[in-house]
Amino acid sequence: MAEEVENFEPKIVAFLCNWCSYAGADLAGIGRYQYPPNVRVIRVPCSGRVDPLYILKALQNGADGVLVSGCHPGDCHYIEGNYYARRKFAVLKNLLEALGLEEGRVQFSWVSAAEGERFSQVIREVTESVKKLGPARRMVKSFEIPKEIEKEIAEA
Amino acid sequence: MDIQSEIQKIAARLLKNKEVAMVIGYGAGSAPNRTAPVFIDKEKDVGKLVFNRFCVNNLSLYLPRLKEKGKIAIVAKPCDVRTIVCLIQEKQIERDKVHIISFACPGLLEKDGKTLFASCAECAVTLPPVYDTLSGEAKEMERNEPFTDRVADFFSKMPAERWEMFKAEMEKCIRCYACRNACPMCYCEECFVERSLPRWIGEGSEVTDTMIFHIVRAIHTAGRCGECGACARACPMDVNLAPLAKQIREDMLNLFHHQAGVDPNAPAALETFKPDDYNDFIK
Amino acid sequence: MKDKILLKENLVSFGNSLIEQYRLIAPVKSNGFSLYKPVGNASEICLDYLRPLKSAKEIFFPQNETLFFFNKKTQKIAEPAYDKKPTILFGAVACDLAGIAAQDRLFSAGAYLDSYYLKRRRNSILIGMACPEPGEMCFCGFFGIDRFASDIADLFFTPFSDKYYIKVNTEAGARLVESLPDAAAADAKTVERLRCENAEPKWDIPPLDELARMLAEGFEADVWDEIAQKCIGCAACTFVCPTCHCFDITDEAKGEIGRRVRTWDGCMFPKFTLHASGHNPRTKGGQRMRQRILHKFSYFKDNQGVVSCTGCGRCAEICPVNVDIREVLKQLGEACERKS
Ligand code: SF4
Ligand code: SF4
Ligand code: SF4
Ligand code: SF4
Ligand code: SF4
Ligand code: FES
Repeated sequence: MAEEVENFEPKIVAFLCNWCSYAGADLAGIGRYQYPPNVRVIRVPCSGRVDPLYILKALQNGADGVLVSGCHPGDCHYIEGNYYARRKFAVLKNLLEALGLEEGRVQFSWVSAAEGERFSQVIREVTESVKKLGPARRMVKSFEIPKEIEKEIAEA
Repeated sequence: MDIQSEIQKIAARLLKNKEVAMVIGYGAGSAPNRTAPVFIDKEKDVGKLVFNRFCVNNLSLYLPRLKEKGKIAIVAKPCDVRTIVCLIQEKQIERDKVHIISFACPGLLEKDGKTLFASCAECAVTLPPVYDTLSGEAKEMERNEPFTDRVADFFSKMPAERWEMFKAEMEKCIRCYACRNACPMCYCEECFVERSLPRWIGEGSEVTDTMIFHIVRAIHTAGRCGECGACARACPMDVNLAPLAKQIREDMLNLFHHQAGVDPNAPAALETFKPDDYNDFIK
Repeated sequence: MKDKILLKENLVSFGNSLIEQYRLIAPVKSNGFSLYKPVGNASEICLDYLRPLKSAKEIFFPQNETLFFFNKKTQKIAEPAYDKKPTILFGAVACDLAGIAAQDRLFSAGAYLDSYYLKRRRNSILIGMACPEPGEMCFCGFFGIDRFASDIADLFFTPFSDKYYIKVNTEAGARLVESLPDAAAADAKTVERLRCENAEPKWDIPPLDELARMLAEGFEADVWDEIAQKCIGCAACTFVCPTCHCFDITDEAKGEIGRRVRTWDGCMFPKFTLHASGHNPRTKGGQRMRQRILHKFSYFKDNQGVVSCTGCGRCAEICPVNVDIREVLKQLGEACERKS
């Protein structure tokens, strides 16, 4: 168990808005800024497109952390998408933490298309903090499939 | 005159003058501590209208589905009026198609007839923010009955323990969705839990599926919830939904200075924004 | 088989003697209401209640049940392991036992054997408990259900003074109470007297045969819409009902692995009859209410020989808008009278 946590490489789902954070990730790549390979990126048109339900589904399907990143306030391609999103996210984050989900499982950032280095920095921070929390368990759906059965049906 | 007789009188007048096509109110239930919604369209039936402290439903849930009947009068507690205001704001009903009969609310009692409902004990709006006719005086009523605090204990715990408590409540849920169906603000023709393309949550009562239902429903009611407590009272399993409601209410108030359905001109909290909204939680 | 006596003070030790060999399920109180739940120690059993909030049906027909697991890639399936320890349902009230009897008929009707239900049911022993006083919403008596006896129970307990009178109905039951003292003839008389004293009240509902006629004639009656107007379609009534047995089957998967689950469904959900084409033959609340009532009082009777309402009153008790099935039947009766 202790070992599991030590060698633990979290799976992090990152919803990145197409116009800023996704471009920021691209720039990080072009600029060869290193960041941990733990994020699975999902490109969305705008941070305002991210329904709280998506975040919960990611957690339910076993994501150890979820990051939503969009344009800085005032810079949203759709003018105000991220302003609405910000209100929703504040409510979601506070609610999840009020119910007792670990603080830091769900994180948010603003990263612009010009901030390649900052993008890598954000990913490093998020990965580190989720690593500290250990594997997610609280919201993960279980099929309660016994190990032997899983093995039995996996063999062709 | 007491609230009940005034309601009957107002209803009789409205029906007689053909000002409304129907009055939705509370009628006698099948036990002394119950009431049931009644739909009255004849003046001679107004005697069926009752008012007591067991009027647990929020009748405004029927307004959108009955709107083709014409103008409707509704008996509404102040909290119910808040959801009517929200329904008007959300264009589910028209202001001039509803006649609101309200009153200063004495608060509701649990089935034991002695304990005040927690939502009533914490009620912030005991006088109707909007109405067409008022029965009784517009005077705050005292509520001295004891009530069971269902959040203090929860919020005094550490996160891991809170999660366990939340989970235990979710395990009680049988996913009948009575809470949702009793809520006037959950008027979606197809709720996300019932969608099958894609299917967002499993059909059964697996606990994380149930959690997602309740968390998302809480968020969907954020800034629109009139705090009537009808959802909690509808639950056959007595699932404690109060911590979710409380957290949402506090956020609406503290982060966005918003109380749903109190001011017809104030947009719902999540339908608007300010450039300098709370931003500290974002990297 | 001789009837037996158990002192109330020995109930806990009796219960605990069963726990070793059986999975004991009994009414347990928590959060102010009781539910049938597995008990680890018989002291948890709570008999100071009316009837548990939910019926006993989920013991044999759980709300969620994994039928099998599958692997999409290998195309192989496997059923979950099944706990072979036999179950004892202790403290079941007469309306619940009648509910189990109705489900027995359905799940083992002729050619249609429901193996999932039957593997649990066949490996179980039922111990009934007399209900001393019907609740506010109860009307089991209307159906002639005897609160003080049940044929389907292996054993049936009736509390009196400081004892339980145990009616032994089956060999399996007899084995459980072998070591207990025999009941005296006087005890049998006392219990019989109790039963007579609790004779049926009169019900203000049209009698069953008349109901059948009304239902047959009233299929298109407007009264259904009237009755259903306040219903919010939560189907909680069908979930707590001891006889409702509708279910849905869905697949859930994560990656290659998944499971097929069977979950309760109910005809009061607006989507209950939604077809894949998008067509829904029951779009109105009145049609759904009619289905529920007709299934209970007409179709089930035609198909299985008994009505599928046991008068437990749970649906009336938990309905958020106080749709009380007794009132519904009364309203139907009145509507038919109006017509004729
Ligand atoms: S929970 Fe959300 S989607 Fe479902 S009915 Fe309520 S508002 Fe609509
Ligand atoms: S969420 Fe509950 S308290 Fe809020 S409006 Fe809906 S029913 Fe009322
Ligand atoms: S009413 Fe209660 S049991 Fe039904 S879905 Fe809501 S919380 Fe769950
Ligand atoms: S419990 Fe009541 S409101 Fe819910 S479906 Fe049944 S009759 Fe309708
Ligand atoms: S059709 Fe309705 S009444 Fe009949 S068993 Fe199914 S849920 Fe119950
Ligand atoms: S487009 Fe980037 S947040 Fe809206």
